[in-house]
Parts: sequence; structure tokens; C-alpha cells
Amino acid sequence: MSPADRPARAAGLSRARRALRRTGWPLLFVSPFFVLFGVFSLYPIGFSAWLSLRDWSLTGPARWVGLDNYRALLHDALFWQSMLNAALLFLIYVPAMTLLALVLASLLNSRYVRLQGFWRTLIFLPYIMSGTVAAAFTFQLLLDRNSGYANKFLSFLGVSPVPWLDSTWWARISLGLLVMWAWLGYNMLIMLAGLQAIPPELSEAARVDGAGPVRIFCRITVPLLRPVIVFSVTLSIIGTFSLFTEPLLLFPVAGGPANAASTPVLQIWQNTFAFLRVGYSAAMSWVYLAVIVVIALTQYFLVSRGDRYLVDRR
Amino acid sequence: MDGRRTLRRVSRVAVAVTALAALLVLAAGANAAHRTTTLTVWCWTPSDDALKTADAGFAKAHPDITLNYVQIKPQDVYQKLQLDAAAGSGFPDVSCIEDSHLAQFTKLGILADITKQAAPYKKQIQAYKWTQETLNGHVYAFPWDAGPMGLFYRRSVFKSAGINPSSIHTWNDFYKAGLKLKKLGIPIWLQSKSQNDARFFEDLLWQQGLGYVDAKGHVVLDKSPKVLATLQFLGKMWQSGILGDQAEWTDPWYAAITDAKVATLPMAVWMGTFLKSWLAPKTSGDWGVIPLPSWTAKGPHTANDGGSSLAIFKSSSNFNAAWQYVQWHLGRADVQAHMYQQTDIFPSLESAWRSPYMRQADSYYGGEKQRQIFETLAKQIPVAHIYSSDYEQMDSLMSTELQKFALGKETAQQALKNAASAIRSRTGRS
Repeated sequence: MSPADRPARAAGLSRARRALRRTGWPLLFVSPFFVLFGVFSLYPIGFSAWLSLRDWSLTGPARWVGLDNYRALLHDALFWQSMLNAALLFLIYVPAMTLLALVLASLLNSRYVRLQGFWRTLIFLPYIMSGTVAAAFTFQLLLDRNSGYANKFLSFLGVSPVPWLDSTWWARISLGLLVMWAWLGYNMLIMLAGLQAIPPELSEAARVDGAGPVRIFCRITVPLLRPVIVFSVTLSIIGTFSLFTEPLLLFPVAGGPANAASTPVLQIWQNTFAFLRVGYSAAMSWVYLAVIVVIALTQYFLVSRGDRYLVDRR
Repeated sequence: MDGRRTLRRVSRVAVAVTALAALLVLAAGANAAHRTTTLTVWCWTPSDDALKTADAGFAKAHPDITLNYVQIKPQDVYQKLQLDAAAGSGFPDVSCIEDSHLAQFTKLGILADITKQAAPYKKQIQAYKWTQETLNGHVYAFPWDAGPMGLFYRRSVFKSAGINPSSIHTWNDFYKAGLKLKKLGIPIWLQSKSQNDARFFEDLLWQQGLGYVDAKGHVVLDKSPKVLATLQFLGKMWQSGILGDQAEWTDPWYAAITDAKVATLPMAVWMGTFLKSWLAPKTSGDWGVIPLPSWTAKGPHTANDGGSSLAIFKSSSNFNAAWQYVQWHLGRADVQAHMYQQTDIFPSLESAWRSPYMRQADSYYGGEKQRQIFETLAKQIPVAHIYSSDYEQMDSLMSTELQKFALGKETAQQALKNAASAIRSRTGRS
């Protein structure tokens, strides 16, 4: 190192200092997120990985058990049943909810419907009421087989009572109805945002060419909205597998009849806080994560192929 | 330059905040040095109301102790305690714990050892209670109430069905009475098929001294012909249609009890509190109590359902005051008798049974001496192995299989076999 280097180095240092001064404050201001993320997300994730290889009951030492938790999980009928429940639940309500959200969004985006703001608010209301607990209890009362209003209404119509919460299949359907009620508005809003991003010239041009509203909807709106639909369905997959409050509170016994409406997250919670099998449920959460990632990726690649096709065409 | 000025301002604010915080800490310290002790007690309703009936006397005897009750539901108590155990702090000084969940917490090692303090009471309290308070020879909680079970029945309903309550001795008699009631369209008892919580099934096992495990902790659910026969009997009652299909502790269940849409309640003594206080206060005089129907002609005519204890926490810095509290509220015959009189929470402290109050007629039960009946029954409670440190899990797994059995998805044998193997693999018991 020659003395001649010194000024250059000093200049470099002051440049660094200046750069730090320029970026230091912004970094300081965004740091709370990263600190909180580290403390409340990154650390727990690492801790749960560490736990999943151990046997621990909240106090005392955690005993190393290697892959035993994962091995036991392979034979845990209740856990796999809960995965199956989530998949069935997804099939029960997500197609219906997505379609309904799409149709409602299109209606509320068209110029033919009046009081658009009112209807939008009304449909979105269940989502912002943030009262999953209240809603679950209300649904429990409404759907009670003997005294609920749902069955009273049906009997008024001459229909025989439905075991809403008392048969394995109806339990899943009732849970699906509750979730759909709560999330329809949210999905509609996403679709609405997507619809408003589609230039009106496209449908106008189609109309000039003689296309009817149904054809415009199927051939122009839905294909252009595909990325938005993929997004909404992906969120619904994750949301369905991680349902917790609803299956916990909708039924007098958590998880519904014979665990038919139990979800993976409900199982994880039960094993942690009711049964104190902390390591085991940590292993459960990792398997649960893996399953969700695989499903979401599969769905993404299956559905998003069409987008590339559209882009290529353009 | 602007940045530097801002920094200076920020640091000045930080210094001010730190100083203020330090002041507050000092103030808090000074407060703690004050001579009164504050005890935090966690309990649920109606048990906290029962404890409070003794507070006036306690305050006179111990003016230096202030009580701070926190009303928490049982499930929330357990959840909070578990999280506190994980965090290592946040415990109250004293908490109510149900006997069904006590073992889980003695095992966690968060309860204070009261072996020495409890020793003088050993002979005064029902023997079966101590087995639940004890781990490896050390006592970690003080016994409060026992849950002797009887058969509460609706007099008017029995009358219109032509049933003489004194004719019900065995479960078979109960079944026959159910058939008579069925003709009136009134279920003899409510047991949900799809939402069954296995509690009644556990009661029936307890009555016969059976349980999930044996005395050594081995799972015996699928090995006892008596357990199988019990489940089959429950199935027979469902099939004959004498049981109403309604989950317990739900609004429709309450309504059925209030409106005489159910004829009997085979439940523990504490059910009286619920009936009298808010479920059916207006039906006073229409209720009666007889011993629980038995499996053999000889009995026993009761089982235990529930029961609770008070535990002091290891972390408490007020152990002596906490023990004074526990001793006053649970260890005194006069206090316990008074509590029972107010709330139907049955003392396991046997000296409290000598109170003349035990032999008084109770107008709510049509002038019956119901407390004497429960006293006789309490002495018959068999030792059974339903509650353990894994109770929550066993009950949950059994409920699932019981629901499948009730819905006709599997036989009684399959249900017991599946429940037993799930319990074995999950709890590591043999």
C-alpha cells in the first residue's frame, strides 16, 4: 500500500459514509418490519424445525427423537383425515364461491346495475365484520337440527329437516357455507379490481363485431381475468387448509362429527395446546406446509399455462 | 445536517422515556413493599362464586391479604397455564383445576409441593381424591369437590308416563322406563350421536371401576368385555330411540331441560347449581333425585363426574398467604358446608358432611333430603382410571370413535379397538 493510495481510500470511505447517510435513514425506517419478521416469523420457523425432531411437552428438556415424529405422522389417521377433509371442503365450496364472485363482480361492474356501491358494500360486509367467532356461533344456532331456523324454514316449505351439523357430509357442506359467506365479498373485490383493469375497448370492439354479453364474458373477460382467478383460487387453497376458528367453533365438539370437518391446522393446534405434543405438532406443520406448497404449485402450473399462450398470441 | 438534528431530538426523547420508565419501576417496587399481599386466584363460574362465599370470614381473619379473582373458563385456564409453562411466567398464585386435567399440570412441574401442609387433612378427605392430587408420593393440589352422580328426574314427566322412580334400580330398569317415555315422545336422556363428547360413556365406565387404563397405566379399553358391554348398551339405547340426539351444554340442550323435553339427567351433584341458579329456577319442586341406576343388583349406585381442586403455583412469591387461602376455603368444615349450601358444590372434606344442613329437606326437589342421598353416594364412588395426564387426548380420541359407532359407521368392537390403538400410538402407552 503506497501513501498515494490514502486520499483515494479516504474518498472511498467518505463516499461510503455518504451512501450510508443516504440509505441509513430509509433502512432505519423499514427495519421494524425486518426486526418483527425475524422475531415473530423467522425465529419461530427455525424453532419449529428444531422442535419437529424432538419430543417436548412445553416444559422440561426437549428430547431428541430424530425422524420419529415424521414416521409416526405417516400412520396418523386423524391427520390424513383432516387433509382429506380440507381437500373435500375445497371442492365443495371454492368452485361455487369463485364462480359466484366472478358473476357478481361482472354484474357490479356493468353499467346496468344501479346502486353499485351499496351492493358492493353489502356483499363485502361479512368480510370486514371480522366476527368469525360470532358468525360461527350464529351458524351453529341457525343450523341446529332441532331448533335452528334453517330447518324451521325448510319444514315451512315442506322439506324434511337436514342434519346440517350432524352427518359427516352435511358438516362439511355447512362449514363450506360458513366460509363462503365470510369470504365471498373478499374474492368479489379482487375480481372487481381485475375487471376494472381490462380496457373497455376490447368488449366494445367485440360488441361492434356482433358478440353478445355472454360471449364477451366467456371469450374476453374470463381469459383476461385468468391471472386474477388463479390468485384468488390459490389464496382459497391456502385458506381452506388453514381453516381453524370455523371448524373449532361451528360444532359443539371441535372438528365436527367423527372429525369430518377437522382441518390440518385444527389438528396442529389440538396436538400442541390440548395434548402438549409440541414436537409432534411441529412435524405436522412442516408436512402441512409441504402439502400446501405442492398443491399450490401444481395448481399454478396447470392453470397459468394459458397465460403464456395468451401472451404469445399477442 | 437535518438528519443529525433529528437524531439529537430522538435521543433526547429516548432519555426522557427511559427516565420515566425508571421512575415507574421504582414506584411499582415501593408499592410491592407495602405490607398487604395480593393473591391472584383463577377460577370459573360458578366455582368462583362458591369460593367468594367464604371471603368475608377470610378477610376478617387475614386483613393483610387482598384477593384478586380472575374469572376464566376451565379450557381457558388450561390453555393459559400451558402457555405460561412454556414462557416460564404469568402464573396466578392459586387456581382452580378440574380433576380431569390436574395430572397434566402436576406432570408439568409448575405446581407447588404441599405435601407437608396437606398431611393433617389426609384422613379427613375422601380417599379417592388424594390419588389425583398426588404424583410420586408428593401432593400438588388440595382436594375441593367430589362429583358423585345421581339420577335427577322430572316428577311431572314421570307421573304422566306412569313411572315410579323407586322402581329404577338398574340400567335395565332405566331402559324400560325409557321405552315408556318414548310413547309420550319424551327422551329419557339426551346423548348426541354425531357430537358425543364421550363423557357419559366415561361415567358409565367409572361406575364399574373401569377406565381407559389399568392401575399401571396400560391401555385396557379394548381388553375388557365389560367395557364392550357398556358401549353396546349405549348403542341399544340409541337404537331403541329412547335417547334424544342433542349435544350437551348447547342452547337447545338448555331449552330441553327448562321445558321438560327430557325426563332425567344422570349427572353429578354439581348439576343442581345449574338447575337452581339459571337453567330451571322456575321448575322448583318438579325435580327429584334417586341413586344412579347400577349394573348389578348390588351397585354401586354412583360414579364420579368432574370434581376439582385448588393448586398453588411454584412461581408464587406468596406461598404462605396462598396456603392460608386454600386452608381457609377448603380445609374448614364450617366453610365447606356453607359453600355446599350456597352452590351444590359437594365437599370432599368429610367433616363438612356432619353439618345439620345435610339432613334438611330441599324444596327444589319436592322436599327431598337430596344432600343426604349424595352423601351416601359419595361414599360409594369406586376407584377408576378415567383421568390421567393424557385424559384430554384419550377423551378426544374416544369421542371420535364413539361418534362413528353412534352413526353406524363401525361396530362397538371396532370403535374400542380403534380408540385403544390410537391412544397407544399417541401416548406411547402399552
